[in-house]
Amino acid sequence: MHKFRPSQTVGSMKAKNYGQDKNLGSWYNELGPATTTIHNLASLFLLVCIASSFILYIGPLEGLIGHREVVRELHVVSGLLAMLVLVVGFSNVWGRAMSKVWNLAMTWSSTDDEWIRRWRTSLRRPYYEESGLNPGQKVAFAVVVALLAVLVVSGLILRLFAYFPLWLRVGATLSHTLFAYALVALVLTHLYFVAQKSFRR
Amino acid sequence: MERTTFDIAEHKSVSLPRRSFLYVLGTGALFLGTGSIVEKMLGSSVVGEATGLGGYHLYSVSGGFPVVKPNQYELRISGLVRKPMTLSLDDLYRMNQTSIDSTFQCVTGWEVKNQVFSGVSLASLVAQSEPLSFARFLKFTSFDHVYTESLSLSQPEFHKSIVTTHMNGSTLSLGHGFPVRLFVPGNYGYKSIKWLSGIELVETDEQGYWEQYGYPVNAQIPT
Repeated sequence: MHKFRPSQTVGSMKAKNYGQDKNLGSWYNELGPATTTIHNLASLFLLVCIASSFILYIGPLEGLIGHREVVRELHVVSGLLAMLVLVVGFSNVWGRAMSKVWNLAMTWSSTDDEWIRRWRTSLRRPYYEESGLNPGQKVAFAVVVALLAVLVVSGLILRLFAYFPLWLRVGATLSHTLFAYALVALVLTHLYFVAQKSFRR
Repeated sequence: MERTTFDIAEHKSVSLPRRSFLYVLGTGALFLGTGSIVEKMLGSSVVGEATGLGGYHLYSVSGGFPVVKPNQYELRISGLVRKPMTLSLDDLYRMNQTSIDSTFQCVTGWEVKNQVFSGVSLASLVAQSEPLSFARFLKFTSFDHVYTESLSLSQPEFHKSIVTTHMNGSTLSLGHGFPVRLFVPGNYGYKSIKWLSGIELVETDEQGYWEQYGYPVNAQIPT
C-alpha cells in the first residue's frame, strides 16, 4: 500500500518533518514563534471584532450597551488590526510566517482528494496520516483568507460610505453580513475542534 | 516500487483550497455588485430580515435605550417662536393625526419597505408655535441627552415629516424611540431622531450627532 507523504519541498517548509511527531499541534508549534504569535494576535483582534459585531447586530444587546459609535469604532479598529497582523505575516517583515501556512494549505495531493471523497461519502472525518494541515483545514484556511478579504473590502465601503453610491453600500451590507455569519461559523467549528483536542486528525 | 513522495505538479489543476479561495472571492464580488438588485427582486432587505427585528437594526448612541414613563413625557417646542409649547403625549394624541407609507432607508445600506408612520405633522406643530420670520432651521433633541438632529424649514421634507407616535398601527417600541420619534420621508434614517423631546427653532444650522461623525447634513436619498 502506498503511503503518500505530502511534499516537504514547498518554500521554507523543506527541512521540516511534520509527520513524525504524533503529538497534536506539534507541527503547529514547529511553524515557529512568528507564525504562532501572528495566529494568536490576529485571533485576539478577530474575537474582539466578532464580539463587537454581536452588539452592533443583535437588537437587545444594542439596547443594553448602546454607544453605537464607540462600539462601531472598536469593531472597525479591531478588524483592521487583525488584518494588519496578517498582512505583516505575509510580508517579509516577519520572515513570511503566514506565507508558510499559505503554501502548506495550497499543497494538494491525491491523498487529499481521497480524504475529501471519503468524507463526502461517509460523512465522517477520515483519519489523515500525513503531516501538517489536513485537507479540511487546508480548504478552511483558504476560505477564511478569502472571507477576510471580502469582509475588509465591504467593511471599508461601509465605514467610508460617503464616498460610495447607495447600490454599492447595499451590496457591501449584504456581503459583509453574510460573510460574517460564515466566518463566525468557521471560527466556532475551529474552536470546537480545538476543544475536542482533535484539531488535526 | 514503494512511493514515498508525492509529485505536486501532476495535481496542480485539482487544488481544492485554491478553487475554494477563488469561489469565495468571486461570490463576495458578486454580492457587492448585485446586492441591491437581489434585494429589489426579493422586495426586502435580506440582512435586515436576518436580524429578526422586522427588517430593522436598532441603534442607540447613548448607553442603551432610554426610558420615560408615558405620563411624564414632554415635547418642548422653543427657540425663535412666539408661542413656546410643552406638549404631553395625550396632547399629541388629541391633535390631528396623519400617516405616511414609506420606506425606511438606512445610510449604511439596509432598508425596510412599506412602513406606516403615524402621528402629528411636524409642519402643523411648528405652525402652531408661530415661528419668527428669521427662524431657518429646526434643531431636534432626544431625551437620551446625546442624539441631536436638524432640518431646514425650507426643504420639502419638512412639510412631509411626522412627529411619530405609532408605527404600523402600534405604539412605538422602545428600540424605535418610544414614545415619540421623528420620521423624515425621503431622507436616510439617521435624520429620523428617536426618543424626541425637543424642537428648537434656530437661525443657523447646527450639526446633529451623526453629522459630527461625518454623515452629510443633506440626508436626501438619491432617486
